Amino acid sequence: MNALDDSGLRTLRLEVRDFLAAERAAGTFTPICDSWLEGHDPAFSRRLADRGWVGMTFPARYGGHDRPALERFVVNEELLAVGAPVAAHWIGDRQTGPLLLRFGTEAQRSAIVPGIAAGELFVAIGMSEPDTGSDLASVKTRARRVDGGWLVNGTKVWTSHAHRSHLLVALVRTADLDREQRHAGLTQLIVDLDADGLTISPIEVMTGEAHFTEVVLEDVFVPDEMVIGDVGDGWRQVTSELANERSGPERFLSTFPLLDAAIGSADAAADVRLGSLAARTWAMHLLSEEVNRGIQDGTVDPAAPALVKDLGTSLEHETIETIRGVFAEVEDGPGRVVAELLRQATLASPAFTLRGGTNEILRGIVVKSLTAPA
Amino acid sequence: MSEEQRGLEDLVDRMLAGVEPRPARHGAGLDGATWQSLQAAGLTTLLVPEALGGSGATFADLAVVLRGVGYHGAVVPLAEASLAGGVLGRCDLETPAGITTYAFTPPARGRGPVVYSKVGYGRAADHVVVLEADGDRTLVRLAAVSDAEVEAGENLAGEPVDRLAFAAPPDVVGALDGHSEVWGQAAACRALLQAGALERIHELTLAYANEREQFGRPIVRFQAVQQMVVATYGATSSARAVTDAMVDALVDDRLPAARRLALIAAARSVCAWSAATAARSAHQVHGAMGFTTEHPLHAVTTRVLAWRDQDGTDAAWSRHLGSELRRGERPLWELITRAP
Repeated sequence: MNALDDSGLRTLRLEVRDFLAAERAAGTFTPICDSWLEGHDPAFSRRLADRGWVGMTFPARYGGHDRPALERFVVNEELLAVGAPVAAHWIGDRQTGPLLLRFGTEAQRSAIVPGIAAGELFVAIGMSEPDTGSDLASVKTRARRVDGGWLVNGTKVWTSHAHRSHLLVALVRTADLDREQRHAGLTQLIVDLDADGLTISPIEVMTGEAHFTEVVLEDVFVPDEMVIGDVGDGWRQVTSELANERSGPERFLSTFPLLDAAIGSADAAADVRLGSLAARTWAMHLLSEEVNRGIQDGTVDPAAPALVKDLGTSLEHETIETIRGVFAEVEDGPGRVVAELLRQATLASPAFTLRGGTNEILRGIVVKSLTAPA
Repeated sequence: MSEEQRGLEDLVDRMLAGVEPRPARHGAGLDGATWQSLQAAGLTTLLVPEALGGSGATFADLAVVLRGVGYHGAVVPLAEASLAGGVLGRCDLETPAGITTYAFTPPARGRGPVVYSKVGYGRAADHVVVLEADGDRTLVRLAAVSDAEVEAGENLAGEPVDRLAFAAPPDVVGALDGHSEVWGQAAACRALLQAGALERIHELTLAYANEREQFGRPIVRFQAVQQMVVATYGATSSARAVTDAMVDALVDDRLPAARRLALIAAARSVCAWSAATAARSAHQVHGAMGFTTEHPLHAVTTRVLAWRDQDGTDAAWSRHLGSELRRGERPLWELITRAP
């Protein structure tokens, strides 16, 4: 795998920018905040995949492009900085593909990974449950052994876009909870979202969007071939996946379209405040890039993705309030574009510091890593 | 960091290992012994060309030493002497013996009395290099401090920041093109001192939280304390990342000056936010102990806060960046991503 040098990365970045400029000129999307979650557009995902920008780090023999982590990072941050609609393929590209490549069977890799890389096969995550949030080991969804596979019963919640995806990766208990070893007896299964026994209901959130869903599983049959890796290996897999989930630029770019628009339309009275937000956003980019360089070199500090997510999402909150304050002082208020982005961002903001691991939990992870014996 | 810079970092750590951050207030001032050892090791003339008796080192080398001084809390005019020596070197002049500091000033009006304010370590210095804005260039004046009336002042940490009054403007000894480069360099040195101090604040905080026991366990076990420890760590990491990028830009001649200045501005802005965040969280973790003068914490926190106001306030630097973005050619995203 030959990594691009700095000038190669710049060329790649500018290619993505040109593509996005053309898309915008053609009116295929409008920048929105949180586009990696709210902007579900299968046709856009396919166009990206056609250019080799989905599944970039996957091996070529599974439909990927053998590119290193930093190139994927550069492409993705360009997409998010303009609020492009990448939600359809985001989960599969970010974590399910890597999960299967690391822990899946050869049959699973061949059957699923190429579809993800083609921007055609969409995946939803089935981890949280009504009674299971930060304490992931407490999942109750149970898979019981039957002939040739498992029967799954339980309820998954906060499952983004399950109603628009093909597969659900569900974390389930395959053995009863053992209080001495809470992380044992957990397994991840690939559930076909067309299977019998599934009821998917949208959950409307305060933004008015309903990309979250509740997925009820009643005696859903999952064949043995759809167990990811080994039975009982779920906790280890999930821990690895969560690092992927936290390391991306979405953790500080959800509000970037708003900041950019605000800078473009504010007056001199806002210079100090917007300059200070710009400076901190710059620092977040540097830290995020560092994490991805570490992933590429295999030297990443385990606490770093958690720290970056904590810092980045906190900055996103401050960005919204500061920009609101800037325009609240102005006679006519913000223009139409900033007003709409402010509206979207304000309503979406409680979720920034909750999803991908609530910040308070992540801080515990950081401290644990800082105080670990050397 | 290069191998040589790692060696330099180790050298500085060993030299300053005995320095305990202490309040620099009430005229306690300059730590003469530490300054002398830095001088003897050639670390106070890094930017002076070799032909003029210095090391001819790069700004990246100086950055290593500045971080170390900030970390160890040494009360020494390293930033002042380094900048002054570098400026004199560019005018093809040797640095005078003793301590040389600097002052920035607007254009002099005629030949009457002048007052230079915010002069770091003015009272301890033998000479002062005055950087005077003059149209599109900077006049460089050089004066003996003994010719001045010195009015002693202090920053928030009690470090000497003085006013020097001269009967007439000192002699001009040279000139530099533009203003922003040398002003930016002074600001950059300040950010590096802050970044070093922040590393110290983080380490003190983490160590304290692990050692201090209440309710039968180290306080680091409590989630509320963990939040504070991470707040400090996040602030420190942010400052480190942005000052690293700033130093890289400052030694990259291919970059336009405006971009280097933007990164200095970003660094000063971030380091101020980091200073306030880390100081508040660190003191909260340390409880009453950290509030006393017996404990080293306050010496480091008051410095990192004080330095927000020197060589341009953080607000002025934030304004610089905000104004550049609002009026300039380059959107923020292009600036951050160095493309095109």
